[in-house]
Amino acid sequence: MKKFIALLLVSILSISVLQGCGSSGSGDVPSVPQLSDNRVINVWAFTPEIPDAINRYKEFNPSFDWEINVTVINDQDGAYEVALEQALVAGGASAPDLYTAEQAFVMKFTQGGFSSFAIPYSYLIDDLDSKIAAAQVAQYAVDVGTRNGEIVGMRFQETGACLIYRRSIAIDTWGTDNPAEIEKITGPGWDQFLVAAAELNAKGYSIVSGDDDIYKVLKDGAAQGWLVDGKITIDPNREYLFDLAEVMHSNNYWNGSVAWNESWNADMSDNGIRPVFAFLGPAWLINYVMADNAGSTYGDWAVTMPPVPFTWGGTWLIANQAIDSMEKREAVGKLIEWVTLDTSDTGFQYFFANGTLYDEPGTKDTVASRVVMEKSDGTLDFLAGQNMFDYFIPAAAAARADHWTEHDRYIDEWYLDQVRMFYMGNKSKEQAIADFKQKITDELGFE
Amino acid sequence: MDRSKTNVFSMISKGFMYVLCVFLSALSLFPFIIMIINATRSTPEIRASAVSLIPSVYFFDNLAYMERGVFNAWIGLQNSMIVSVGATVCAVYFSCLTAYALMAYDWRFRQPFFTFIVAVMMIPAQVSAIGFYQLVYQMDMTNSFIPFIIPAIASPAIVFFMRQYLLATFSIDIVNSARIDGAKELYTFNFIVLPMMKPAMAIQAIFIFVSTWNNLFMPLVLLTDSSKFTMPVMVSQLRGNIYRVEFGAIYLGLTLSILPLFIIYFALARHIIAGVQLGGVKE
Amino acid sequence: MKHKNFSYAKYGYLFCIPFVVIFLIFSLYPLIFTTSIAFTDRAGPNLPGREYSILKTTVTDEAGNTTTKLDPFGNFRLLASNMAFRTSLGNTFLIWGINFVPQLLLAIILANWFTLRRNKVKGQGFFKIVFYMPNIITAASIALLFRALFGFPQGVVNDTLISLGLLSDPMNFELDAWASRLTIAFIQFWMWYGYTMLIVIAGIMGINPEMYESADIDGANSFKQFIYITIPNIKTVMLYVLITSLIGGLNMFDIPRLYSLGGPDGKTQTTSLFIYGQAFEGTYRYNLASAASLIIFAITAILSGIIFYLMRDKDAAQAKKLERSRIKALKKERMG
Repeated sequence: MKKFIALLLVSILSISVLQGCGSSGSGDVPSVPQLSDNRVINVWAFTPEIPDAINRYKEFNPSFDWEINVTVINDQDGAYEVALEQALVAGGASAPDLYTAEQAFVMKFTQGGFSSFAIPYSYLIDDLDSKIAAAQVAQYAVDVGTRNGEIVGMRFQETGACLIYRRSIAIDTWGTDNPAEIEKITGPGWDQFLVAAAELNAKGYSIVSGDDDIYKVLKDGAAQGWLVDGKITIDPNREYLFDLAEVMHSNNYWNGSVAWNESWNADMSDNGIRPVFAFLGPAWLINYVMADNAGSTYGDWAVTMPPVPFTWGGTWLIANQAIDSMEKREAVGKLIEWVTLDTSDTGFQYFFANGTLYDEPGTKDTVASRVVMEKSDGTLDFLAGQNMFDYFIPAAAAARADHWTEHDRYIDEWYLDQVRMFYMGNKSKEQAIADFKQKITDELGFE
Repeated sequence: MDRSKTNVFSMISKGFMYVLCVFLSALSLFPFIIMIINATRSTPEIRASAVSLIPSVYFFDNLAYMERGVFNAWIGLQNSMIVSVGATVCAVYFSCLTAYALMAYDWRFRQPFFTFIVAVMMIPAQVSAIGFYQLVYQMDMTNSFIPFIIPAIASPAIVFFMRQYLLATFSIDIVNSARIDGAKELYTFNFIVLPMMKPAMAIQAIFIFVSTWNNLFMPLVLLTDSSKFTMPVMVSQLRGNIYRVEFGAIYLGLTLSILPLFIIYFALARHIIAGVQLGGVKE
Repeated sequence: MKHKNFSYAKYGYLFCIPFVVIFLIFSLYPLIFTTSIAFTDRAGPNLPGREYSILKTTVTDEAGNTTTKLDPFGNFRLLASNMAFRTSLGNTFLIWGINFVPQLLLAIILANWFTLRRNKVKGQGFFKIVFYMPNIITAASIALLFRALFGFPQGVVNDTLISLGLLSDPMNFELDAWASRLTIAFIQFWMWYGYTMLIVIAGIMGINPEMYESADIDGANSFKQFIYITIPNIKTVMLYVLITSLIGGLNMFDIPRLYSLGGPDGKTQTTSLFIYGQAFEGTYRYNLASAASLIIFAITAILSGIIFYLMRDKDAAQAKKLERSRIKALKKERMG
């Protein structure tokens, strides 16, 4: 007990000391304006990926004498977004200069409620348009980062997605594992996909793991988004999910797993309730999820075009319009350019595509610039030596995002929820659609 | 005859209670065992089956991964200790004091003040929280521990508990006899009333300590400098890439971050278990 | 010495100063923020320079003239017709009720058993410590654990039920409203019964042991002692348990959010999740969120009022007793 009291006393003392520090730091804000000439760039991110890249840039370019003040906040329960919003609104010397946004919430910061904080890239980078054209960046990724015709966000990682399938299952079912053949067997479009699903089913295979895998793909095939001029809109291509899911469910064409759950992971190896033929996703799904989970199926995979082009994930870089000095704008511009537009062999994307950013080899990945991918080596052991860029480059070119809305992350969830209620037999399609619309009205206020 | 019957009955009920207690203990210990076992397993193993009773061999790999990033157990421990001890001391001491003021003195706004305290407890926290973050960011108090510690001085729920506890156990006679001995009011509170409240203080201290220690969202939003991270924030940073959750390292981090809680918990739990008897001083 | 009798009251004020000052600094602004914007048009992200005002509506009279007039309760009307909010109210009470009643009963039974004077329970120190332990783990870890347990099509629960022959096909617990509600209620029960038990134990230990001793002499068995001594004497602590559980239950947030995200079909969406969604997600309707908060506040206050009223006897009697002894003491002092 005495020890405990001693501990308490020590803590109280240290608190009062900290209080002293706190007040001297925050009390006299006017006396620290040197911060802005202090050559510090505040970088905010939800993972260490971009901060690490920037530190690497500093190592490569010793003449870049700006100090990088890194803030990494895990976006657990949306904490990164809340903190970033508060920090942008509060402003001041500690406000973020350069910040990142993931696909789930990027539209909020590039086109939605908080986009007014973003500075157009043209203020930071000279000859922006010609550099984008030279790098051959997929148009949809530029669209997402464009606010009223001005580009405010770009990215380094390309997330156009492919059909990632098991070679042995393909051979067993159709006698070939050739990507060009499989592309024609499993697509394009859903009718063709269902034929393939039936053939796989006859052999005892599920074509995909669960409804999440289908929905992501189907969603991007729509001609219009969930909200058109503020009105709830259900594109026929999206409404088709009801029928497609019912066919898939009633015929057991899938295993019924939910994305990111254990069963989904198990389906990547041969440990699911039934072997699964394919997953649908970008290169990161291979690198960070499938390669780990594949187990004995490692090397038994290949990529080809998906039944409908789609994209999944990605991180955009955004700079704060409150950056006051021209010098700092230039410095931030240099960092952004190196990460998102530099197509040279010393640009970030070349390292990222080839897994050569550090001395020890890392994972190879798809990058925003088509030019960089074309000159990089995308062969993976996981794909039995296939060059993944052969299919990820056209997949990126075909992907679209013009129908995305800022609120998709929530609306998508509610939609899939209602589709599940329908195909599980809990309610009729009409009821499910009515409930879906009601949910959007209740939660977001759109009619 | 009658007696043996009740004996059998009490034996059966006693047996039942023991079985129940052992069952509940197993339920309670289960997640800890899973957590510790998962700390020895690799991320793909955990992804394949998160619940396993068989330890694996990846403990040191997880440790190595953990040490690569910003995870600094020593700094995290220090920060978490300052925040949790500070908040606990503030909350327990000042809540006792406020509750004592509500019980021992007859002042005009006593009842309205109590009603006010109970009312404050009832306002849902979500919207107030955003107001609080705004306040902290506008006052430029991010990366300070003050917003975590000082507001605990005004903890309505704990005042309410202490008041209810005093209501059942407190007698003004003790205070009066102290007054006759010439004791000052604050002295009476600190050295006569507080010791009587030990079990109540111990349970609330445990509760506040645990909830402050485990608090993740608020420190995530308000502590942005890695030198100010608390243990749970450091664990949350173990994710790595957004598409890849390093479960093995995270479970190891969780296990490490819970260890200090156990030490504090066992130190304080004694006061509840031993049972400080108050009856002696009552009329 | 005499005038000092009247000055004791000042200590009442004095000792409350820290609470009041800190409350004013840190909680008053958030509180006013919460309560006032319920009547305004404050929706959308909180950007600098944006102004908000009390809600207005435009009214067109028979002559066709349109006038705008103040409509401070517009948000409340909107909520009354909001199906998601109404469902969330029902869900909240349902999940709370399912977990609270067994939780309280178990806590009281265990607390009574552990405080028995005759035949002390062996290992009770261990049990008391262990039962509180689920509260030590973060809600996020617990939600993760239970998601793994109830996984579909493979998961510990499904695998076990199938191997025992209780299920022929795996059950998708995540898509079943009642399975999700019951799981959340169980997690809540399991996380909190230990805490409730400790509170009740603390209450029982505050009871004058002489009362039990004299009951022993009168030959009352432990059940009778429980009914006639323990229960009446822990009423004040029980009042705390009831009120705080009510508040905690009506504000249930972590587990429904982390375990099921309010699904399936909104069947585990609690009012807190609704409020959070309005304020932080999507369209940032702070005004609706705070209007909903005020409604929850009103419901909590009414129910608490009822609980206070039902439990009033002891409270009032205790207060009276204290009052009496205080007067007695004052008299004594005056005489002395």
